[in-house]
Amino acid sequence: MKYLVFCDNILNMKAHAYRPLLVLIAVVALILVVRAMVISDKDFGAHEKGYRFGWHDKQNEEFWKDGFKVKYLDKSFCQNCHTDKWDTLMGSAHKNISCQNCHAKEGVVAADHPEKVEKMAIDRSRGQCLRCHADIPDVGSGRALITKKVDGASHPWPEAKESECVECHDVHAATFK
Amino acid sequence: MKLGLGAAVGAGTLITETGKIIAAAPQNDSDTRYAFLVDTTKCVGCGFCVKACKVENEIPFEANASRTWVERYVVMKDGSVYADSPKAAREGFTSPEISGYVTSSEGKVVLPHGEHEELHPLVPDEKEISKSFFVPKLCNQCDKPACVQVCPVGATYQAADGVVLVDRTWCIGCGYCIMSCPYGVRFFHPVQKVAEKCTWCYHRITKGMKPACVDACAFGARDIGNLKDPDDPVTKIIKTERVQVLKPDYGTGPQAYYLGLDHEVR
Amino acid sequence: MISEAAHELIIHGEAWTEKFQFVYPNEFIVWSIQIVMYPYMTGLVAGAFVLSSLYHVFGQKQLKNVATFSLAFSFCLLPVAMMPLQLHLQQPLRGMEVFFTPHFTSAIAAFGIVFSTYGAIVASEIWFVYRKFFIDQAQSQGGLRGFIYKVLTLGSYDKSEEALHTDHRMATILAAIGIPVAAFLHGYAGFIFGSVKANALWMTPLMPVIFIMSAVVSGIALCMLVYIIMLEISRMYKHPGLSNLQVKETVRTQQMDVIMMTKRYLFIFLVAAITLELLDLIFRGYTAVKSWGILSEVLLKHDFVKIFVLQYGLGNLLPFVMLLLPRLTIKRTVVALCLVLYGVFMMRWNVVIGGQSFSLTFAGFMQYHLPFIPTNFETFKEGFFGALTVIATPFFLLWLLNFIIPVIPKHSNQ
Repeated sequence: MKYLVFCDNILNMKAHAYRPLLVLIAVVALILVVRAMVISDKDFGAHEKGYRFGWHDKQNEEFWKDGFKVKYLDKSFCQNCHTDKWDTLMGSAHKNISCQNCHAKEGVVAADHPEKVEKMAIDRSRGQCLRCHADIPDVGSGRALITKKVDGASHPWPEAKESECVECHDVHAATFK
Repeated sequence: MKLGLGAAVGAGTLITETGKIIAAAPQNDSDTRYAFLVDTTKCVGCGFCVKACKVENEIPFEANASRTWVERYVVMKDGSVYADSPKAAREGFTSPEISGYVTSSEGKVVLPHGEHEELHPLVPDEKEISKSFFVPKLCNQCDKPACVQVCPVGATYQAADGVVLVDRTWCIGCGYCIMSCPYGVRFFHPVQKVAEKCTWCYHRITKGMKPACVDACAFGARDIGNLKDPDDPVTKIIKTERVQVLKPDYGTGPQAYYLGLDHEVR
Repeated sequence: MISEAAHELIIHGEAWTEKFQFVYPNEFIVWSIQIVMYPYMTGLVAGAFVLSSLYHVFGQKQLKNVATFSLAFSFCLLPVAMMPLQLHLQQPLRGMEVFFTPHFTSAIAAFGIVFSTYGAIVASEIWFVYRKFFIDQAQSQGGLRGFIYKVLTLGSYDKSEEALHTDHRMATILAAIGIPVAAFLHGYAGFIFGSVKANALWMTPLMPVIFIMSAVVSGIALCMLVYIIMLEISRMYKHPGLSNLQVKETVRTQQMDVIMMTKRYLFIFLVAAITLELLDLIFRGYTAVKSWGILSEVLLKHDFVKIFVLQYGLGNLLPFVMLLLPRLTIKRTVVALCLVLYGVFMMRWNVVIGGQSFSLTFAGFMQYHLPFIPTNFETFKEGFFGALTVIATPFFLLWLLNFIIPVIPKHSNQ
C-alpha cells in the first residue's frame, strides 16, 4: 500500500521535477558525442588480456613494434666493415664486449652509419674502463673473475688520474701498447 | 582445460603463474610469452646495460631515471647490509664508497637530519666485508600487473605476449601506476611527460632481436626467452634450475627470473 | 639558474625529493602537496553535504540556516575539488579521458564517475531549494542578472503550492540519496590509497573508513566555522528596524545555537576517526610484518611530531577538550574549529607524504621539501602557492555565488 502511494507520488510530481535530470542527460550526451569523435571504438577495447589488464588502444601496439626505431646494434653489425678490428678483438680478452658500449652515440641509429652518420662516437674517458677494472670489493660476485684491477685515483701514478687509459693501452687487443 | 601435468593435478593443487604458462595451456591466442633471465653471479656491475638502454630507448643520459639499473649490495661480517645504485649505475661502480650513506666521525652510519656534526662518506672496510654482489633490475612484465590494474584510462596495458606497455598519446600523467609498482621500475619520462618503464625492448624482441641490455652485457648476465617455446634456452634454465623472482608475496607474478638471488636483495 | 635544457632532464618529483640510504633510482615523491589537497577538498565537499542533509533528511529544524548555507558552500567546493588533480596531472588537457575510456578496475576512474554523480545530486538539490528564488529574481530583474536567473529556472515558472511541495520533496529525496553517495565518494578516495598493495603504509582495509570519518569531521568543522563568520559579516549590513546592539545579540544567539547543535556531531566523528587510526597503528605494531621495521622508523621517529603532536594532539585532542570545557565562548569555538581543520589536513599529509617517506626497498628514506618560492611552473603548481590557490578558490567562488544566491544571512525584526 505504501509502495503504491510512493509510486503515485513520483508519478504525480510536477513535470519540472525532471528538468535537472534532462540537463544531466544533455551533459552525458555531449560527452558521448565528443567521445565518438575522439576515440575509434574499433581500436580501443579489452582485447586479448581482458578488461583488467588488456584495456587499451590496439594501434599503440603497432607504435611500440614498428614506430620505435632500433638504435643499438650488436657487434655482428660492425663486423661487416671493420674486419681488422673485429679480428683483433676476437683474439683478445675483450671479445665479449659490444662495440657500441664505447662507440654508441646518443640519439644516433647505429644502422645509419656510415651512410648518414660518418663517425660514431668514441668514449675514451677513464670512467669507461673503470667500470670493470676499478678495484672495488667484489668477494662472491662475478667481478672477482676480472683479474686486472686498478685504483682509479692512483693508476698508473696519482698525478695521472685524469689521463685516458687508451694513451697506454690498446683497448681492442686488451694489451699494453 | 588441458593442463598436461599428469594425474597429479587435482583439486587443491597449487599451480603458480609460471607453472600455468609453461604447462602450455594457451591463455590467449599468442604463442609467445616472454620471460627474462638474470644471472646475478655473472654481473660485474659495469653498467653498460644501463648505457645501452638509455641510447636505445631515448632516456636522456643525464636524467636521474633509467628503465633498467644495477644495484650493489655489500654485506658486512657484522650483519649490516648496504646497498646503492649511483645514478642507476649508468657509469658503473667505480668507487668503493657506497652512495646514499653517511657516517659519524666514529664510523657509525647515521641519518643527516638536521645534525651539524661532521659527516663522512661510507667506505666499508674491505676486511670486514662478507660478500659483495651486483643485481640488475628491470621491469618484470608481471603476469598480474598491479600497474595496469590501476590505470584510470587504459593507457598502460598488457600485450598478448606478456609485455606491459604505455600509450604515450593517452597517458594523463596521474602517477597511479608509478605508485602501484612494488618494484619501483616506473617513472615520469622527463621529456614525454607521461609514465615510462622498461618494455624489454619490445621493438627489438618482436623482430627477433634481443633487448639492448642483453646485447650490451659482455658477461652473459642477462637473457630473454619465450616461456611457451620448450626449446628456448632461457625456458630450459627456468624449468630445470633453481630460479627466484623478486617480491613474490605481492601476487603480481613477475616474469623476470633470477639465478643466485641473495636473501638480502630488496 | 638551471638552463632550459637541464630543466628537461629533471624527473617529476626530483625537485622536492631528498633521498637517504638505499632508495631505488626511479623512486621519487610523485604524489605531492596537490594530492594532499585533493582528498582534503573532496572531504570538505562531502562533509558539508552531510551537514546540510542532517536538516533536510532528519529534520533538525534548528540547523535550517547553516544547512542551507552548507549546501551552497558544498557547491562552491565542488569545482575546486577537481583543481588539485588538474594541477597535478602531467597531461592536464587529457583529464577528460577518464570519462571517455574509464578503466573501472582503477579506483581513480570509478571515483571520477562517483564524483560526477555526486556533483549532479548537489547541483540538482540546490536547484530545487532555490528554484522559487530564481523565479522571483527572473521575473523582477532585467538585464544580464535577469537573464542569468531566467536560465537558472530551466524554463520552469510554476510557483504553485504543488510545485513548491514537489521542490521540497525532491530536495529531501536528493539529500537522502546524497548521504550514501557522499560517504561512497570519500570512501572511494580512501580506497585509492588503501588498495595500493605496493605501499606498506597505505595498504589497509581501514583506509576508506578513516577517510570518510575525517572527511565528515572536516566538512562539519568548516561549515560551522564559515557560517559563524558569515553571521559575523552580516553585522556589517544594514538591518532596517534593528539597532546595532539588537543585531549583535541576534547574531551571537544564532552563532551559539549553531555551535551547540552541531558540535555533538563533530564529537562523534572525531572520536570515530581517531579510534580507527590508532587501531590501524596498534595492529601494525602488534603483527609486525616485514614493513614494520621501516614503518616504525617513519611513524614513531621521523614523523613522530607530525603525527602525535600536530595531528593527534593539536588537531584532535586539544580542540576536543576545548569544545567540551564549560562556558564555551564563540572565540574558543573558532580556535577549536581551526585546529580541527588543521588536524584533518595533517592527517592527509601524514598519509600521502608519510607513505612516500620510505623507499620500496624498506632500507631507505625520502624527505619531502615543499617548494615554497616557485622556480618554474611545476614548482608553482605543485608547491605552497599552488596549494594556497586551491584553498582560496572556494571562498572566491562563494563571493561570486553571493551575487546569485543570498549566502550571507539577513536579519529582520521578526
